[in-house]
Amino acid sequence: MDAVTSHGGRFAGMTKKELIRAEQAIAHKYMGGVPWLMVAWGLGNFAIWLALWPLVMTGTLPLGVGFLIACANVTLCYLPSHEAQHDIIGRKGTKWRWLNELIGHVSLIPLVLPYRVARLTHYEHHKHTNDPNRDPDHGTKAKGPLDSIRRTILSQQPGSQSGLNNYGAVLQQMGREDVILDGAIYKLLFFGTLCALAWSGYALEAIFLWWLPRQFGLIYIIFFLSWAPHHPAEEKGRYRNTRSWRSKLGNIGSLGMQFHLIHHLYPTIPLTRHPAVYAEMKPILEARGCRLGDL
Amino acid sequence: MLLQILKTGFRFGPLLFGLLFIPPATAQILGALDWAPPLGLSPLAAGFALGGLWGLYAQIRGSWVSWTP
Repeated sequence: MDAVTSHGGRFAGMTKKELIRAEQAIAHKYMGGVPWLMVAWGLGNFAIWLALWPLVMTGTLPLGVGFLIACANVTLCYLPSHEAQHDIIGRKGTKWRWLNELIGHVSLIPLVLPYRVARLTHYEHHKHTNDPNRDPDHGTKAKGPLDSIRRTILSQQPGSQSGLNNYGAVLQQMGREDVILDGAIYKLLFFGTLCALAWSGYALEAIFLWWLPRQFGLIYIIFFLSWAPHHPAEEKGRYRNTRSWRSKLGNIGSLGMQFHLIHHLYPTIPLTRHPAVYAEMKPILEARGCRLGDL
Repeated sequence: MLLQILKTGFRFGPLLFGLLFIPPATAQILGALDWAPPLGLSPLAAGFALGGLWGLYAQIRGSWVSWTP
């Protein structure tokens, strides 16, 4: 007989097998369908970021306003692709597969992160969460919020071997040199575009619509998508490697990551359904000994 | 092959960024602030001086902002 839990309300006393069945029954109710909000978010966010360039270059929009919008664009650009990485918009062989792949590629352009790189390294993160040697995102482990920001800035330095700079090594270990090339081409296009803009008289636009928003976005994304939900990133195992917590910026301000625990348990549930899943599944998560914080 | 070429180029990334991006960016920032560079340098020359030195530092130290990467 499996161990019997003593916490978790009506689920207390259930065996582990009974708990997993109850958990899966809840999870399956929330899977499926196309998350159109994420589709609109991904395409709309990219379109807005693109539109900033002519608007600012023609003087229609002040650069300062463009900068603030671009920071929001880059910060928001990862999540639609994240849904695509998990085939949530359209699984292989379904009619919306092309849309899944389109969102996956396009939404990440402002972040200068190739979709295939993001997807493969993210799968490794799921497989080996918090493993110091095998989790590609373990470099985001930090003592606290300020340390997380400091470490992200340092991880962007040319000699750093952590953060995005570590993804090449991870892909090499996986034998995916073809995908490393994606990263190299993106990097070349990014810096090439910045230089071309600068020599054409648009250096300030290059800095404030792309380079600086990307730095800001990376700090924000890594803080909320990687550091906060896994902190202190020491425990492994399905029910302990991710936590839920109450963010001072709320669920939207924290990019929906208060409920990241649900994502690690059931990666194919769309982001926008996580709060409802969490509410329904919470007694089971308590019974399982998950790190639920004060949420 | 292409990957090797790109990797070789990226090995000099900080220096290239210092010489290809920072000079025009510095000149345009100085222009926007209406500041004149010191020592009678033109804005672009000042950018090359700044970008060259900073890029060299980043190239050697592996970081633009700290002593160690």
